[in-house]
Amino acid sequence: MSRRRSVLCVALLTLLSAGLIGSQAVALTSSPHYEVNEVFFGSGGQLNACSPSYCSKQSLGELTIGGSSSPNYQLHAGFNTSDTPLLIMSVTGGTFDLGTLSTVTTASVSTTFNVEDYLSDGYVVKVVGTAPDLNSVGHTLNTNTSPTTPTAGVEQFGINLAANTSPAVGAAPQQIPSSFFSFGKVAHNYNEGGGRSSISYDTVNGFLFDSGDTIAYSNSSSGETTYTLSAIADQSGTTPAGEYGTSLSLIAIPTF
Amino acid sequence: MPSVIVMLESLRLYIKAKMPKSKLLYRLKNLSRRATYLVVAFSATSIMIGTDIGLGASASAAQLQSRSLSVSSSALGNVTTDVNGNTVAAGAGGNGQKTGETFTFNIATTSNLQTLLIEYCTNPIANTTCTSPTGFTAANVTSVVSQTGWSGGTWAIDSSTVLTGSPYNCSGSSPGRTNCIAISRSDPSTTETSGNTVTLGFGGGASNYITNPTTTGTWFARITTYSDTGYATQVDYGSVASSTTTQINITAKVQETLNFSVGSTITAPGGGCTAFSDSGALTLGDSNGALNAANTFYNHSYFRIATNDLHGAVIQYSGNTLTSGGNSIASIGGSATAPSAGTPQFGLAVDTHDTESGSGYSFTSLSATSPYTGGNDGSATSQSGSSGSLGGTYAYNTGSTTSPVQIASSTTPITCDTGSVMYIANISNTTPSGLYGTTITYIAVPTY
Repeated sequence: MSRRRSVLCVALLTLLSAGLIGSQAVALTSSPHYEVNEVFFGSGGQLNACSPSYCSKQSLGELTIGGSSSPNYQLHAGFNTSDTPLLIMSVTGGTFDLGTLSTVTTASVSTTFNVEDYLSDGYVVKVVGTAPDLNSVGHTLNTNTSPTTPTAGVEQFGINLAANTSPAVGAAPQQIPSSFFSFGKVAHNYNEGGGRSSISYDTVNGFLFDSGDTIAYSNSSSGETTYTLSAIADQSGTTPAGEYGTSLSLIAIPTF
Repeated sequence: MPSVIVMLESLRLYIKAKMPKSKLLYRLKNLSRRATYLVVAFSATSIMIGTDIGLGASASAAQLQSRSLSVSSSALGNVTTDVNGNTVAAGAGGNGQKTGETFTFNIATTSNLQTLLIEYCTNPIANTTCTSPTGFTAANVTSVVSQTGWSGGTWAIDSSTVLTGSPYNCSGSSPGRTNCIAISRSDPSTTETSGNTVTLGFGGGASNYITNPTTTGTWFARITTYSDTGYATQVDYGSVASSTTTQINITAKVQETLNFSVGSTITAPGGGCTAFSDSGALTLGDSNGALNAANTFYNHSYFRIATNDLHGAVIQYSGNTLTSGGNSIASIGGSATAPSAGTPQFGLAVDTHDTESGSGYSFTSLSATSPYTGGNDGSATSQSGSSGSLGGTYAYNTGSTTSPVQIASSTTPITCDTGSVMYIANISNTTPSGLYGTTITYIAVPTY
């Protein structure tokens, strides 16, 4: 090996060493022969730049972003990645009023929730709760355990995570910043086990509700996905009068 | 090796962008003179890297695989009621104060495990400072409620070992550790095999529970297994994440509805529970509308009701007996009485036999009220007629003019019920002649 080549090898080794120091890396992929760590190639940046009021992620000269995967590996590139196991779930919670129900119109409301899950084998989001019930008297709005088209005059409560047209409510999941980075899906023929083997919350105009169902998931580590949860209700002529209510909880369960 | 290729290609781009080739070679020559120092520097760097990527765990600890934490509720730790204000049961989705947790993971290292420690922190990195999530407490965990997949022995809460102070992050003295769950095993001789999937469940009960953080956000549970009883020799390590969120409260109102009508001509209700719309007039008597002492004359009127009132409704009548000026035909009385031709009587009762091919009497939710349950003209279709020996029993209360009297009732919402009311009239040979009549008003009273 010539002197020039020796010098070049030492230099590359040194630069590689310096890059790893700067990354504060966590090993992502490895085999007996190689290992890929999180390294930033670019002019600079700061992942969590915070003031007392807000936080931001900053980057300069980022060379590439995106993700790729195959059955055997998954690769994320870009500044918006994290070097520690991460689960961020935010729910636009609060009270959503379906108003006064009627036998001629289907009432609907919607809200959103976001899930971001990094350095994991994926996640599931479950919905837990009951259909709206009449305070203290025991009547709970009827539900269906498979997607059902709302029918005015037929008592039903249901939810889904689809872009519905009748009623016009909801939206398909949004991958942030793009589908190269984020992979969240709405449950479609999802096998929950325990007798729930084909759960679909993505059927347009099809609503259902069964506490404990998985409504969304990702089979891999994923960037942020915004889901829109829509709820509908119809009353029949004999739906007991009164004020109905329920509190639904969304539970994200990542697997690392 | 696609990932390696990506990394090296990117590195080469970085070099080209930052430094001209000639300048680079010049600096490399200088660097070669200091090769010894560089080797030393790289070695030191490698040591630093090794520390970082090991997540701070013991050098010999392997990472638990396929780790997950399933919580019974993502509600905040101060949430115990739903939007209606009703208390949510411990372990249910809407109760963040009394939750349950189930850990699932695969054993990474074949070993005899004797103790296991779970630390709840705001970051997942082992052997770093653990800040307990705000409001979180595991101090009320009194037992291991479930454990599956283990090769042997039984895990139980370790309430005697003190785990405060470095290297532990447990606050509170045992057994009231607020951010830790420590368990030990009754049979440490059993070997747990690498790859074995195991679970551990905690809380979820009224007095045995975990309280979620009281602020929204992500929190972590650090799981460490040990091969000794003193929580000193780490075997496997892994952290899992969970999150508390605000709840989605959905409310709706259903207004009370009551559809009630009366008539004397039967019509089918159809799918919409069609109301009666005729005048409601009816006649008791022969073809000339005259009563006689030899027969009991009868006729029917109908009422139809639909209501969503939770506790149903009652049907009442109000009116006088048959009168003509200052004369009247006596009420049959307030108790169920069979009609008697030749005796002045006026009465009524619900005729449960008057089905009129599906359009007459049809009670699903309602039931007739005694003594008005026995109307029966012996036919399912005849609306009016006479008989010298009419069957059934009837009653009438003239006090209903001031205090309406109940004739039928339901305690549940009524989809569409039709009632057939049968009236009977008898006169004696001394009943004064005249045009007798009365107006009977039916009242539906919903029960809230």
